Amino acid sequence: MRFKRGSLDKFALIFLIFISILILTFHIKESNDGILHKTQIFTVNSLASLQSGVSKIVYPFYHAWEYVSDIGCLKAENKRLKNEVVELKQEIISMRNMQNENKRLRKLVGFKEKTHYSTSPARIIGRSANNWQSTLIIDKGSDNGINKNMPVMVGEGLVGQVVAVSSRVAQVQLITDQKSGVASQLLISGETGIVEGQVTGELLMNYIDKDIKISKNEPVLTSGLGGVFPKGLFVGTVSKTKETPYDLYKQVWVKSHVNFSNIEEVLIITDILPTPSFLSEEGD
Amino acid sequence: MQSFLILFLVLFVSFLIQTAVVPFLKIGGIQPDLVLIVIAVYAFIEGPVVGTVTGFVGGLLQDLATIRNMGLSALSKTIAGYLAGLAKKNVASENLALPVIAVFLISLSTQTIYILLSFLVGDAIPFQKIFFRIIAPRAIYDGLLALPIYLLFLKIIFKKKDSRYLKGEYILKKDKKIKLK
Repeated sequence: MRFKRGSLDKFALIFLIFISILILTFHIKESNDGILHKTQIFTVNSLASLQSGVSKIVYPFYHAWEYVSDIGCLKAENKRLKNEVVELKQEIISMRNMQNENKRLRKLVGFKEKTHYSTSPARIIGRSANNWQSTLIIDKGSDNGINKNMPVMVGEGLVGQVVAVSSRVAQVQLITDQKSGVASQLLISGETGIVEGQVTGELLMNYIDKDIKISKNEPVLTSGLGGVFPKGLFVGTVSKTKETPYDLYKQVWVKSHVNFSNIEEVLIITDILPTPSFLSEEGD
Repeated sequence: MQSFLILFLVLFVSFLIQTAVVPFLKIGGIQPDLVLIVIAVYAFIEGPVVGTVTGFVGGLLQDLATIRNMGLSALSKTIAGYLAGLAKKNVASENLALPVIAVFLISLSTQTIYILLSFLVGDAIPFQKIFFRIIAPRAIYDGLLALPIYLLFLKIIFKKKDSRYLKGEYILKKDKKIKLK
């Protein structure tokens, strides 16, 4: 069969569009154990060592660049940090008082809550191959005891949750991903809602009643509802609120203190209770 | 066969750079799509057939390494490769601004196609909200990166000394298109 050049162009285009639509349809229709999902996990696993090698080469250059670019603002940074130390010292004193009071009250009502979690450190070896998704690839997998749905943290707050695991690596969906939703709670008002990721990389807390008064910089923590994230993990602080006459709820914008572009290592909380199957199906 | 292997190798390396290096090249929260630039530039040099295949392979590679909607990137990038190939086929010019403008326009259209397809499979992305914040700046970034990649490809992969390489049919002479065959 011979093609003219023009018709070969169109044939290649139509044929490959058809194949793509076929793949897309099968992928949407099949379960998480289907062949296409398994192929994705196999590919991520196979590419892990290569990505790890590349990131090992890249990080020193990045650190050097960061060091050079930071020199100019060291003085201002030092001044800001000194002020922050004074503020934090005050905060520690008041927190200790609250902690003691909390302990006394808990003892009084006989309430037990887990405040320490077992964690496993992991290194970031790759990031999302697609600009519309916010994911990380970490160098720990099911061989290291990592399971799907485990929360991922850094010192500055919640990073996301494990969404796919292979034997040697795992994929973490960031809280800024547009498919991410974290059951959260405002620390002062106690109001609960869902912190949802946006395409722009911002976080929006939904389902907050319009009558609730919210102050700027109010901390937002995980509420523990839904069973995926344990209660009390730091998500961020309120950056702004917005309400329109047409919306049922107030829009609360949350600023994460995590610099998602520069994370190199994370902690995975490994001792959470397994999520019931009907909840994990919903989260997919 | 050899050129197919080179093509796959180039796509694979650009994919690795995209996942490990490009996130550190963010400007104002915007990062370029290196795989798309490579597809568009390759197609721009080689024409629509190679462009379409390059787009499909590059997009599928990205789909395989993500967790959602396999086939979405393959579909949008197949169209991108075809469009880039068409650009070269229909506009015979040595002007170096051409690959920049072509990649800018292809990045705009590919992102739009991706968002449209995402909407069809249930992932609504607010197009109007992000057009000026993400889509347009990323297209500019992609367009600007296209020039060094275009020149690099001509020198290293296609071993041509200048931009006069117009695969197949035409070469410019005194502002006139002359058919070689």
